[in-house]
Amino acid sequence: MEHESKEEVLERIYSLHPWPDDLHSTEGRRRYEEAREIFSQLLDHPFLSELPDNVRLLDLLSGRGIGGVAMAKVISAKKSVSLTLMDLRANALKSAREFALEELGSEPETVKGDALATHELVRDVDVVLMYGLSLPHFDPWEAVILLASVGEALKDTGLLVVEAVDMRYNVFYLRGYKEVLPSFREDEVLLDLHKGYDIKRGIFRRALVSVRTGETVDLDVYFWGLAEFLALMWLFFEEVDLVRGKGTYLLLARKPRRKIGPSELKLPSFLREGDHGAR
Amino acid sequence: MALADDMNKLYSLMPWPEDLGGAGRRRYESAVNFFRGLVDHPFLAGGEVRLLDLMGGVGIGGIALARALREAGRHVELTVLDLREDALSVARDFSVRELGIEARTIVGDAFRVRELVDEVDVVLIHGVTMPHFDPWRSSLLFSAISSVLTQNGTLLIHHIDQVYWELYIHPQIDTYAYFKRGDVVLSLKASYDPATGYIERIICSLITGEQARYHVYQWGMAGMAALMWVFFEEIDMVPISEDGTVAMLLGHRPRGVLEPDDLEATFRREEFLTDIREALGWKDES
Repeated sequence: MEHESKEEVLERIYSLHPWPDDLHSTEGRRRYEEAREIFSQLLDHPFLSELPDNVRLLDLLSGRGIGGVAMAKVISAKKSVSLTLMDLRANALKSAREFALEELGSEPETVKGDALATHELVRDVDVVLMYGLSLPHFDPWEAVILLASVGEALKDTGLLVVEAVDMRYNVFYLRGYKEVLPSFREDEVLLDLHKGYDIKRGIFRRALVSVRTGETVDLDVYFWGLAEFLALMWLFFEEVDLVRGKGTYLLLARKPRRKIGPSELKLPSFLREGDHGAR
Repeated sequence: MALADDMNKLYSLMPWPEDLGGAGRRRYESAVNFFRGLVDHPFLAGGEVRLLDLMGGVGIGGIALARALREAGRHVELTVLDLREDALSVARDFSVRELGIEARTIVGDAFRVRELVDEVDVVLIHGVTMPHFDPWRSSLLFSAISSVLTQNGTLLIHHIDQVYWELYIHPQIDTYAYFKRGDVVLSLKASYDPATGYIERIICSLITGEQARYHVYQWGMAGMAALMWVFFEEIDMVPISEDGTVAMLLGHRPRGVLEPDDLEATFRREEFLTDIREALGWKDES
């Protein structure tokens, strides 16, 4: 079986998945405006009261930049902002750069790279933002590495902002886990199918299938509860808080503890063996 | 002690086999068998083992592990800690019968383990106990446990993947009834708290009307293991059931960098869990 890079897999997922991040579509625009509103309100939070005059903002897993550009726009009303957009997908970064130029009038820095190695690519930032419900991409092991890495990339008083929904509640308690989940857009029907559960990683493997073209891509999802991720953030940061947004939440963490560095996190051997007991 | 009373009531209503004649005995025998295969694990090396069975109840897990270690020629000192003195007195009798020596027993709260116990080599949490602890409390517990373990110490957690069994395979079972010694007990899911991830359950005897409420956090195997990884340098997952959904999680070499005081400081400074509940502004009443 040919091995795809993380970037290739993500490109295929996003080409199939109807994720509204095209900034010139009505839906994309609406999400951008909504993000600006959420961040305007967030500026009053005590965690954001001590931001320096020149804010270094990193939008992690930026996609086409909706979150990062919206936050930069909001902060720029009061302070100067230098925005860095980071993603694995070169195509998304290209759109994000153009959008940032349009909205902010200045060129952002873009970094193509893996969020699990953030600290190797970007340092000394004031705010790391993860906007657009990207948490399900991370299993708990990766989440631990992610938080250690973000902690290294931030300044001592740095802030991490993560947009999330309570997937544990929504998926398991409210709706019930679905083996088959169809979605419709224009002339396309997309089936989101259960493929297996990986005990060692805690992920549900789903297959996205286009009914029209038959194209298929696998997608690993971890259904994070708010408490589970926020408690992990607390182990890596001295202060945490939870703010309710519009149907989503913002998880906030400030002042990285830096007690556990990414280099001290060597994955257990049972995760390196390949067979994860997927069912 | 209010918590101890609650736990006594809870365990009197729960379908958990603690009688060492029937089902409890079978649970003990299967634990001994499993531990016989585990004693050669590199995380459990060393001829002298000071073993702490934390929240040990009647001591089934600790006594089983002690027996397997002794059969392998190791010297074992067993301590069983639990909130319930009734359970601990059973543990003392049982340890004399099984090991020929009486286990040391301590009545106390697992969070205060540092004040109650001297240094140990192995801490065991047996019998799927972690659902009593949400991710916040589990973290505080791991931090407390780390402080009593030696540098080469190991935490063993016996766990079942609840995300798999309870949320994926059998999600419909949120109300059920069971029979216990002539009693009929009804267990109901009452609410979900997003700040903690806890499900509140109410169990109620249909015969006596007696009730108990308790909280459950439904831990996946990976979620639990990765949280242990924050506190321990090395992690292993040893399957107990063939499919691996029941397993022993091993955390070896405590990092010792997240002290309980440092973690609790977050709560003291902010009292943020209260804020979080208010910020959420809702509680699911299903």
